Amino acid sequence: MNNGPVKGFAALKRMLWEENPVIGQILGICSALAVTNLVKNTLVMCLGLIFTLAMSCFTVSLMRNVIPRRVRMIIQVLIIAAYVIFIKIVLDAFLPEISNELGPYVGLIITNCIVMGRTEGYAMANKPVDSILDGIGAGIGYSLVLLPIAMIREPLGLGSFFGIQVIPADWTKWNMMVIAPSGFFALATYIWIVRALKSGGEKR
Amino acid sequence: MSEKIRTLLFTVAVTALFTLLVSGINALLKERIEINRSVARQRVILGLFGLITSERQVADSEVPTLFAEQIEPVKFATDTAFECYRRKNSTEDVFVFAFSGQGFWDNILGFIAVDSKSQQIRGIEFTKHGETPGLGGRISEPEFKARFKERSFATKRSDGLYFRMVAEGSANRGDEIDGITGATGTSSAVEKIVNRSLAYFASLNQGGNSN
Repeated sequence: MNNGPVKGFAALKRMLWEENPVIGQILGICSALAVTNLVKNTLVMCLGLIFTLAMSCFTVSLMRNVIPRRVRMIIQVLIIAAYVIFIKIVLDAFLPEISNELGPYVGLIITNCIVMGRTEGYAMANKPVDSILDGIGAGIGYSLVLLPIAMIREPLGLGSFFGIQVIPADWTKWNMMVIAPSGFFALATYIWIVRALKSGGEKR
Repeated sequence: MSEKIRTLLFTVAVTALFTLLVSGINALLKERIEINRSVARQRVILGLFGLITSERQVADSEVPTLFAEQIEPVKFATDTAFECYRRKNSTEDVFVFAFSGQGFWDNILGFIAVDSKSQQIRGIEFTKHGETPGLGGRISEPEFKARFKERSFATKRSDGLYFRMVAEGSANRGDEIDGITGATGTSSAVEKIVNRSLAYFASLNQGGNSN
């Protein structure tokens, strides 16, 4: 995937489009399906993921030369889990209502394959600053996919946007859009469109 | 061999370090989190007694004081663990008690306010549930909770329930409550939990309470 080291802002930029973790690498699908029926939950999930990615990549990169190869994955999971628990505790203490609404979603950041994909695939071999940028890029790339999907699913499924009713009450809600299978359809359609755009670009 | 020992020591050291950091942050913020939780509970109970409304907002910092001033716990001799409250020095027979039960996905917890003199439900609040957002999750919307208001539980139906959840929009009797379309599992779980909790409270209250 990485042909030679990508440094600095190039590491961030490529994650937004060319190597977008969700579209290009099909990572992080599980959470993409779970949280995208409400824009608010999606936004907090995205911010949490960006923070976790940046911090985990930074920490792993700092320790990359001392981590024994044999246990590197365990150490990565440990670091990721520590940051996610940190987010959960801070939310519980300062934003209890949002934390309550998000329920188990925050804890699920640990299982987001993007985080481990970036720590293992990039941070283990690159400098801390580059790794932070790579992590933030991957987080934003993830958000660029999730937010549009949530912006389609919430209005169609619930008639609301960010919890505010935007579609008149006589609108027949598409219950289908709220449950996970529609996440598959929306995501697949999104990936299809983006891939078509990408390949169109390559031909030219 | 030394490589193996180094790996082991490294893993133990890193685990200890991160465990320490996480528990440190937890210890620092634990008190705050506990207060948040108890304020949230007290807010729900005060809301059910009508002491906090959308017109009469109370700041988080004042909730514990208001609760201590206005509310007292009620203990029943037959079940001392049953969580139940009433207002201090009130002539009304309004009780708020906790309920719990299995929902469609996860346990549903909450409080019900009842007037034991007129045998009516005053209100219901769900404090924790794991129902599908937008479908079963609608149980925590004000519109759904209002469906229980002023319902009488003086008599049981022929099927042994106080209420039945029926298809949304089809409730036209006092003992029927509109369920939620697309969340039949949640609706029947709520039906079960509310009926059971009311029956249990009625049986406890009959035995008299000992404060």
